[in-house]
Amino acid sequence: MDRRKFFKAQIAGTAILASSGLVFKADAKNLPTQSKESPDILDVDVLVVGGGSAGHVAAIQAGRMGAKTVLLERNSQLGGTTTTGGVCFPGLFHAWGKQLISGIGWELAKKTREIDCKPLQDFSVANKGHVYYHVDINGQLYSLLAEEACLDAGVSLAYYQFPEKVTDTADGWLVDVVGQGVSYQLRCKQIIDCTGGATVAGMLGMERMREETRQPGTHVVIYKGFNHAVVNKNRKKIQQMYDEAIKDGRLQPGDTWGGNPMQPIGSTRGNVNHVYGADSSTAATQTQTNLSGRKSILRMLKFLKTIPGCEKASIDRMMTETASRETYRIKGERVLTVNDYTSGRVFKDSLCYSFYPIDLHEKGGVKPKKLKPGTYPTIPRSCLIPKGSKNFMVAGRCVSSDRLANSAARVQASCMAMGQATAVTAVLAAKKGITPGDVDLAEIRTELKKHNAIVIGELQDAKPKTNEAQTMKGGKILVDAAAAQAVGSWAKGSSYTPAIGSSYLHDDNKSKGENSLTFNVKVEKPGKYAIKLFYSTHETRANNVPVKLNIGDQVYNVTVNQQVSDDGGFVLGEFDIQDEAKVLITNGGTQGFVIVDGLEITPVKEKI
Amino acid sequence: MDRRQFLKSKIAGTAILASSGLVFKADAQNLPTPSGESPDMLDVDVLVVGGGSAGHVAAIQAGRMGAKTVLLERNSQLGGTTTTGGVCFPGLFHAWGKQLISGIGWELVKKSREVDCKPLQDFSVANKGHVYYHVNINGQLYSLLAEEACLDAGVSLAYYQFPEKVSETADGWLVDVVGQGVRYQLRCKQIIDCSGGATVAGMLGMERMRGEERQPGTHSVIYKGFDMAVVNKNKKKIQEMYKVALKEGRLKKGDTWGGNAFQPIRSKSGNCNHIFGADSSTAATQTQTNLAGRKSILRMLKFLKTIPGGEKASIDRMMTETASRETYRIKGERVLTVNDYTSGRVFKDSLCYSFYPIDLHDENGVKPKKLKPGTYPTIPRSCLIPKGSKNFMVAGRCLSSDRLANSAARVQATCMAMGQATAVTAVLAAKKGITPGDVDLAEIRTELKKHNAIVIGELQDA
Repeated sequence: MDRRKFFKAQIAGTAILASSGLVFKADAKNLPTQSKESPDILDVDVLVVGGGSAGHVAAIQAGRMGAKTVLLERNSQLGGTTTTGGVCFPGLFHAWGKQLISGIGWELAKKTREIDCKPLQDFSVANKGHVYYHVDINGQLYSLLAEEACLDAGVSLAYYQFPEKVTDTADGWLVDVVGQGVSYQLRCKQIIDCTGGATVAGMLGMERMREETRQPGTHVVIYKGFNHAVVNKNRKKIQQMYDEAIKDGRLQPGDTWGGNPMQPIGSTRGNVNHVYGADSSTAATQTQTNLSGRKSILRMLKFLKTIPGCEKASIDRMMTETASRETYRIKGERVLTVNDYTSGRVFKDSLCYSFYPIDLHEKGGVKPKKLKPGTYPTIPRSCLIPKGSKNFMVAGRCVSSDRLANSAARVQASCMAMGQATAVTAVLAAKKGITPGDVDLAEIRTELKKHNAIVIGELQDAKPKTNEAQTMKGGKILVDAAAAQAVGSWAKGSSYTPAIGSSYLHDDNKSKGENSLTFNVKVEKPGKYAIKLFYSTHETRANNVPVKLNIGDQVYNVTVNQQVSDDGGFVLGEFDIQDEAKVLITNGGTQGFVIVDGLEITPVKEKI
Repeated sequence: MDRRQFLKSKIAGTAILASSGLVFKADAQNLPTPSGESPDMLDVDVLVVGGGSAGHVAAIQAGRMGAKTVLLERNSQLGGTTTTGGVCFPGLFHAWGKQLISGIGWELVKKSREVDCKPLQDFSVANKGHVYYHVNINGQLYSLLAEEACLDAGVSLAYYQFPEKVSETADGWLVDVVGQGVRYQLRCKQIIDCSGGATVAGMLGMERMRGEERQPGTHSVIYKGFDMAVVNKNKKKIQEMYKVALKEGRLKKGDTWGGNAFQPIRSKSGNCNHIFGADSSTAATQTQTNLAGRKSILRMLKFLKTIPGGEKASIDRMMTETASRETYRIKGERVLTVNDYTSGRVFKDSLCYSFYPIDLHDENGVKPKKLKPGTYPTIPRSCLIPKGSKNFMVAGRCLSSDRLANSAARVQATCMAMGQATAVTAVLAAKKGITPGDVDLAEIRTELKKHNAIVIGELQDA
């Protein structure tokens, strides 16, 4: 066929492939080729269904190995729960001071943080709660980078499309793809089902497991417009109003987590409701799920507007759909048990590591069960192959596992690792014309290492951050709290990502009057500087932190309300500094946590 | 059929209808009924395709009139460009000191502002630029309210679903609906195509128009992280850096509007790029459109990080897809011309008002052309019926119009008005078993007034 006709509608460096729904980078090398049978049939090596945590990583991996790769995504962008779902703090990549998941998912998460100028936390510390190790990322930025990586890898992308029919063939599969206004067929050698619910496996009649009662989903929403001072003064009343609203049906359990009405008010991440019955399996169940999620949000909003301090409550950001935690799991060649997981069992065919507490969300909330120190669970190939199947793998939360093991293995970083490992396996299988279960494990291992994935038995050290005292960035001086002289007992904070350096300090709301931190800041040039104190805000912070500045022979006293901030901190003032300034932060007379992340000293340009 | 089987999978007060993909409020009265022919076939009165500005209003109107109504939406929520597209400042409902569009769209917009505790501006002032009269709303909140209104009206909703095949029947249409994991059929009396690009009309071979060159789309994005003091001190330098980046291909025209490097930095609405070639017609073209939109955003972000004050630039919020301004227009019984529009022509079959400057976005930006004071354009029924068709209407930006008239008539408030008017017409047609073009205009008018729409000749004081 005429190359011009083959690549229809070129815009922005991409083109639509023939009469398919596939879009690809115009100079890609590993494009699907036309089948001799028909212009509407395309030949590919690997078909990945679903572009969420597992799927987009699988597609990028397959593309980078030179395989003709197609990625079908039902929705409008890549990333699944991380992006469209708004649950954008992937983890865990680290445990017990080691890194256990790296490769493509880690590459993209890291890149997202770099572009956002947000240095990562210190992963070498071994004794934090699991929340510390999550990597907070800008989900929207992540979707851009994931897509760019896909196109650069030569992957053919299709949004708003899905397999309608899948048929077994001599050397793979014939797949009918449908989307609004498009209908075409793909012949592929290998399928990787990353749909979350093993939808394609289900279509093929492969056995899937699920409970009557499933973990709820979440429709991520962040509210705004609260007067936190008033809210804090009325906590008891608010809890009573909440209990009443539940009683008379204006609210339902799940409209907030675990019966805590403060969560939607305080949450900055938006992971604040439990949508029971959430089911992403089909267009119908997802429709119903979205309706349920949005009704929950509207109920909560209406309730919030009745409570003190929240009359002006509104929606700051809300995702476009409700995300699911649990849908279907395949019955694999093996079923990973909670025992396998919590004992860190290594199988002969283990492909990647996984790490998370056993984490079942239920009607009462969620109570994570930690793993024993030094435990590194693994995921074997046999849990990624539906029992009795050929030329077919799954990756993601549909991994063959019992419910409890699944509650840990389903997390985003694990899905990314599974995606990468299955893609390597599937591409090797396609190259050799064999089924994934027969691919030599050593070859998979070698290939994974080539692509920076961490293989079994080769955990990496989580690199410790070098302690920086005073650093320069773009003309500003940054001083980490770690460089200050500490008196009294300060604890290293771990709940929030520090803005400066790799950690922040807090007084644990104790030792009032006993603690101080002294910064001795040096400037190269005399001049006017703005000194800004950085800290993370929360309703539990102190609102009257005393800060004393000694600059030259002037003394300045400033009180900082750490329940609020201006872009991450508070500007203590603009000062004429000759060569040095001393900034003393104490906690006498304060109620609430006192937080010190660091100082930023910015030269103030003279106004003309 | 057993009611329990009929209503599958009840959660949260809704249920899935039979083996379809339709979800509805469990106590709704006007549900589709199973067809005698097959359990996978449902009978409805009105099928609305597309839940954007026109479609969700049409569905709510039809439902409120008691019609068995189905709304198919390709995406995950209602509202189209207003919600998913992030262009959430609908207008115009007012002009020259009068209100010309009210009804369901206005009701939802007003409610969004009330729930947000934001009093509206004074619309009685007559001499402001058109931007003044837009109603800024919280798009996300709007989607919740629109959906609630749909369900309360007894509408059966289906997301992620679309018509795959449409066949004419003796008294309407047989529609094959497809979505991932669902496939079913609907028999309906009337179709209202609110898909933006008259997709269903296209499937039926009805004539559609569009230029080689189309207005660009926009992928709404708001950036953050700028040091504005530094940016403002370096305006000249930044504009020069922008020109260099364009020259070297690190940026493309359209990555910002009209060559203005500051728009992405300052924009609070996110309406700050032009995506050329944007086309929402099919899953394939929308895929390509999204890729183009997101590449544009990534280029701009990389550029912004190189300018003084932009080192920490990042994305504050970005929509999940690129929205289109122009796709296809039907060839209607009549084609609305720019002359018709700018002269405020009233036709015998005018159903609703419309108001906006002539507003064509092109390679260089947009230069709105204002209307003369006291002009109130109208939209006639004949521009909402594809030429020669029966039992079929369109509403929204695909109305039958020349390009210039379309650039004004396509705006959200007008689409809402068209949605409401076509729904009244379609429901009356369904009730009487006639085609929309034959429905008595006085009856349409009476019904519209019952539902608070503003009819021709009865402008309201702002």
